[in-house]
Amino acid sequence: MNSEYDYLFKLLLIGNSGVGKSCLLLRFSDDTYTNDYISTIGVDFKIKTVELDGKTVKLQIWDTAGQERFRTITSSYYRGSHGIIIVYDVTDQESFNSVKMWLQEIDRYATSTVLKLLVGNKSDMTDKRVVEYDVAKEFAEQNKMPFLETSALDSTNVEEAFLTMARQIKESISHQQQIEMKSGNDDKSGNVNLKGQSLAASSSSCC
Amino acid sequence: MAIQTLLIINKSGGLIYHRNYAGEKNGLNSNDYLILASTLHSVFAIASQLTPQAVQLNAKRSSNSTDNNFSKGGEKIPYIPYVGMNANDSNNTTNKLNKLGSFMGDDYFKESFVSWNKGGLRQLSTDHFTMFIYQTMTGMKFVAISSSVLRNTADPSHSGKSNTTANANGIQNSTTISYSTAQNSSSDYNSNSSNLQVQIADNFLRKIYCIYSDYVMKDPFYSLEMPIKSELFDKKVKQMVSNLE
Repeated sequence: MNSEYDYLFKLLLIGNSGVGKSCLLLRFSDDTYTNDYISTIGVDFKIKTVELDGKTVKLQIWDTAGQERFRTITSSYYRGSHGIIIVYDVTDQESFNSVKMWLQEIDRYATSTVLKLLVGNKSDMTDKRVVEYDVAKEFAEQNKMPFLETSALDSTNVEEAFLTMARQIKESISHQQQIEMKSGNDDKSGNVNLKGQSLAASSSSCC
Repeated sequence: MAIQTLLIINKSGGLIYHRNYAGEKNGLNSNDYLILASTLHSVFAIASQLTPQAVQLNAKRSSNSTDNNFSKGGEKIPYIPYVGMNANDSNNTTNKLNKLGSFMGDDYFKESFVSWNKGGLRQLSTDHFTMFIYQTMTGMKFVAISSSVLRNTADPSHSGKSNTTANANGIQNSTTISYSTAQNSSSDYNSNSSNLQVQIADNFLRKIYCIYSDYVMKDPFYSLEMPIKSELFDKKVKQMVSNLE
């Protein structure tokens, strides 16, 4: 029933085909790993329940298909998402180059306040690495988003990636509520103040 | 038309309300329902891309010619009186005025309305249940799963066999017939009974939307797009569902 959880967050996983979005998600939700490659068709869902500040939060993760032919449908999944995780493969330069394109997609389809996270997957494959940590870190800083390197195979940083995001979303939502509550007696919040007293104060300040 | 399950899906495809009225356990947990709702949302998105442009344009044109008040287009749904309202109460209107929240009168609305569901899925019929989807202008979806089974009597090849048909919006509405009452027994009742069912469902779900706007949207502690936890809303919806049986 509905009363089981307080919040429902929508997280979106995007990135080129084959970078390991589904594997990352499988590790996070079921703590398993498979070496088989099965292309995601359209979209896949996984749900994980977490406790944050005494509230039960359901993270619903939308694992989108990376393949070009599903692109027309994936654009409709951006709507209303709270957080978007862009995944690339550290052994595949092309997938890292595409991150720019994915950022454009976010600008086009998602809300401007959406939280972003850059994830470099397959960090366990050190001998095949082509995208250096520092390069990706710098790129992430330029675009003002946090960055993590993960490995779905040995589960490095996987929990962190999702939980960092969940915590940020939770903060931004309770922050918004605080602003709404404060707006009654706070002039700086930018909302219309209906109290007579502050109106008198502002008129005196302009003289 | 007994409602078994009611789902409310927000504009981003998240399930924010779900209730089972049938009583029996069907083995689905809350995660399954979340996945079901989001899958439905994505099937809906695919369906609206599959709906031929010609059908969408045709629906727009036919509604423009019948009524100029609806400049935005879309199919017009006739108003069916007292869907989901208590039959005994409809006679004494005086003490009912306060029961509908901000909605005055003895029914939530009294005029036909435009369906905002222009290209998506509207009805899904199987041998065991029928699903109706009402979409609001803002993209919310109200979904009712009914135990009543629609049989396509016009086509004998389908009867008896397992037929799972998804009727995309607009395909079946080339002849839109306005029913003045729910109990219409004209000769073309059978062939259009599925159309009538959809109209009843649309009227019913639009009323749920009215209740939602009164008891959820006006709740100062409700955060947008999040699960609905309003007892009043619960109560009002449950009442409407039981009236429909």
